[in-house]
Amino acid sequence: MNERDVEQLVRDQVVKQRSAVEVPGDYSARVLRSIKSASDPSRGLRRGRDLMSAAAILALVAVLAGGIAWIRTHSRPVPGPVVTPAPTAAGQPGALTYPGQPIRFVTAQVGWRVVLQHVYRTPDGGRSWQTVLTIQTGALAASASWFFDDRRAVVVSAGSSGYRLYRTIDAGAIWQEAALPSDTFPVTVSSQASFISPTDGWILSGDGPDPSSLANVRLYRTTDGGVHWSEVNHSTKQTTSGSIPLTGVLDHLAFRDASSGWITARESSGPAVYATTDGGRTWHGQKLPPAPGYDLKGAYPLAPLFPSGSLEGLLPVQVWLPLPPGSPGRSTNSRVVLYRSADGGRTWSSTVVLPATSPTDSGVSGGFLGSYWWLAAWREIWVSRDAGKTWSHLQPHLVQDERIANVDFADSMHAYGQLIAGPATPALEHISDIESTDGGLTWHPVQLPG
Amino acid sequence: MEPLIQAVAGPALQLATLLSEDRMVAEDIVQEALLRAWQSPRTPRDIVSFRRWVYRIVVNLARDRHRRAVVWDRLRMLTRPAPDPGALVEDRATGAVLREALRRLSRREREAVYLRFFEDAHYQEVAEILGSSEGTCRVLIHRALKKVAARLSAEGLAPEGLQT
Repeated sequence: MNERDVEQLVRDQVVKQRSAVEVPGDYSARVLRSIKSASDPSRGLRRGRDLMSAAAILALVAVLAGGIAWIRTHSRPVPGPVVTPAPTAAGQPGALTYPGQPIRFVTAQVGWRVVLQHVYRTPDGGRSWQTVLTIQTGALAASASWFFDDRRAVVVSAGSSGYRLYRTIDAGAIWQEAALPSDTFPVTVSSQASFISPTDGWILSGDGPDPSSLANVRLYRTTDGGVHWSEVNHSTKQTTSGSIPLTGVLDHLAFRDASSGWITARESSGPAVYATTDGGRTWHGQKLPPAPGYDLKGAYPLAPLFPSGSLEGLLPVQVWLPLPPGSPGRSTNSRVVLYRSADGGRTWSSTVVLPATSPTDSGVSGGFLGSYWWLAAWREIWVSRDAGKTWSHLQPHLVQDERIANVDFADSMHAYGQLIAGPATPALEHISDIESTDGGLTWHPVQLPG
Repeated sequence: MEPLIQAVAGPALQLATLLSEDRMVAEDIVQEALLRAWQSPRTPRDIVSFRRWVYRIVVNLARDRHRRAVVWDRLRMLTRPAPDPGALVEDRATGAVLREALRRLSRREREAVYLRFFEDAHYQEVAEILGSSEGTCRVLIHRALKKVAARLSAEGLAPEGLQT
């Protein structure tokens, strides 16, 4: 008997033991109900208060213990002129479609926030918040949201009856409800849907055992806020001219306007970008130039991002650095390779590698305020005042083990985000809301709704 | 995230049960793991990464429970009833020896073995879930298989030529 035989015996045994664990038919539903109950907003508020108390103690300790470090701080950049978003601008000021962004300021004063099944809005820079939408019918939480300006928004929720779409054009006073295409599963709505206005949107729908082996992908489009959806592309494994190749994992869908859009994917050869110029009917591959010194194999492409009405946009790609041979553990050390486009996304060039100085295996958040662009990941923030041509690096004052996520700037000095504290495992970390009034250098706890 | 949870909850319960050897504990672990995944802004939204993410939380929570339960477990083992000799003979044919051999592996070896064979995962995937390197996982699994082989041999269940 050799090791291969033993391996087969062990494999059979593990499969047998697994099969012996009965999973009742209603188990998933029961777990979902428990999660829903545990995520009850009133309980969340109590948890939030606990976290706030802990954060306050931490902050006090940090202030006392960090006094010397504060005095020694020598690299504080001189802030530039305050940039504020154009008030009530049409289009998408600074909107990102990355998942998990819990707060979004569309003007210096007006912000939106999504927490589970509640949508809140502030008209006064975060001093007060009103609940403008509570999704009722069996919904667990908002899965994705798009905030276009101070009045117009789209929210998609997942619930027991499928995905529902809610849109408003009057600051949340009235919400119109609609359904998503019935076979919209197993799409990841947060990253595989895109809206450029409350009425114009697209959603990818795939079927197959998992996103890496889809047999069919359909792209649906609506021009009436989800009342009607039409199939604009149907792609299968049989690649034909204009189809969406199903050779990798489709990650993100993003549209810049009614015609131009992109799908990013992870393929065995590296990140892939497919573009359309006819509203999604036909797709073609785009070339990404190599990033000197970095292996793009296994890299994770995010969605292309364009400020409303701008031809200048960026495409972040997260790459992980290889460990030296023989090193224990896995690489958590990543860099963000930024591709920039100046022609509306027809070509990508001018690779910039953001000089991360610490591990960055958390998500990337970012956005735009006119030509003021930012990206944040782990313990780092990068800002650009020239629409992504040059970037400067901020190192926020954080204590050990603290990371920041979901950073959103109301203006170039005033930002909100989330502080993640504790060991870098989801089971042990604590999350609290934070605010910065000095451009992202220092952060303090803030009480936000939800 | 509801479809993702629906897809992963069952397998996560099975994995948690194998790791914790306690159905009630496993249900607690899965509920907590999915709640944490639900609440974390870093939780991936595609099914492959989501499953890996949840399994990683399950493994961490099972480890945590194991650490807390280890004293109790030692006490409980002292009072475990002696096995029925007749049943032992019968169990030999039904894989009891294999089951016991897996139980006697170190915690890390068991985690690696279960993750590897639970869904025929690649070493790289096991490494990502365990937060370890691929090389370390290969060593853990190789060592575990040798221990299992030795156990089979000791029980007279392996023919001549057993390589341990």
